[in-house]
Amino acid sequence: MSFWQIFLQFLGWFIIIWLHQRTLRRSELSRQKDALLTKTDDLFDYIKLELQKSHINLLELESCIAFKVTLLEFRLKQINELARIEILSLALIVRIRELDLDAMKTSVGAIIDELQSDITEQIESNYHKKLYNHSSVLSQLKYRVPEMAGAAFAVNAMIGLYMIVGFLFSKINY
Amino acid sequence: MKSIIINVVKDFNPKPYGRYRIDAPGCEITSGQTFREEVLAPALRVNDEVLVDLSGYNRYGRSFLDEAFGGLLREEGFSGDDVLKKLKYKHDDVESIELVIKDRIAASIKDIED
Repeated sequence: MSFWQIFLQFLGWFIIIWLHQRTLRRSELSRQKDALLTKTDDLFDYIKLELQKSHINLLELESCIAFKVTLLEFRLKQINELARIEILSLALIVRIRELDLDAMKTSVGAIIDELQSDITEQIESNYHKKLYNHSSVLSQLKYRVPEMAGAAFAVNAMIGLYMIVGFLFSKINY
Repeated sequence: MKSIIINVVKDFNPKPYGRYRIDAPGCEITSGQTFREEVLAPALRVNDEVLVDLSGYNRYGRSFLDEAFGGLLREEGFSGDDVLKKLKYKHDDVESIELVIKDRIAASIKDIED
C-alpha cells in the first residue's frame, strides 16, 4: 500500500468518526434543549399555581423557587458547555430569582408570561443560531456535511475495492 | 488594610432563610436581618474590606439577599460608595446569586437617591 492510500484511508476514517461525534453531540444538545424548555415551563406553571392559592407561605415558596432555579442553572451550565455558546443568558435566570412574589399576587399572569416568553425565545433563537448559522466559511463546510459524508464513503469504498482487486490479481499472477 | 472573609454557612447558619427575625419560627437565627445586624454590618464597620462567601448553600431566597445586602444602605446607614468599595461577595457554584446581590444593592442605592 502506498503512502497516499494509507493517508486517504485514515482521512476517510477520521471524517466518518468526526461526523458520528457531531451527530451524537447535536442529538444530545437537542434533547437537553427540550428538557431545559420543559423544566422552565414546569417552573412557571408551578409559580402561577402556587400564587393563586388563597393560603400561601411566600417564604416557603421563595425557598422552593430558589431551589428549582439553582437546578435550572446547573442544567444550563451543562448545555452551554455542550453547545459551546450561551443558549440562555444568566440575566434571565436572575430575573426568575428576583421575582417579587408579594407584589405578583395581583398580577401574576402577565409578569410570568412575559418572562417565560423571553426565556423560550432566547433558548430557541440561540439553539437555531448554533445549528443553522451558515455565515462563516466553517459553517458553510459544516452545512455540506451530507456531501462530505458521501465523498468520505466513496473514497473508502474505492480504496477498499482497489485493495481487494489488487490482492486477487496478485494471487492469480502468483 | 484590614480585611475579613465571612463564610455564611460556617460563620452564620448552614441554611439561611427568611427576611426578618419575625417571619417564622427559627428565623431569629437564619434571617437576612439577623445576618446583617449581627455579622455583616459590624464587620463592615471595622474592616476595610469584607468578602462574603456564600458557597455551600444554593437556595438563598431573594428576601434574604435583599435584606442582608440591600438593607446595609436602607437600615444600617452605609453609603453606596462604602458598600461598593468595601464589600465583595462570591458564590463558587451559583453565579446568579452574585448577580442578584449586585442588583439588590443597586436597587437600594437607587431607592436612597430617589
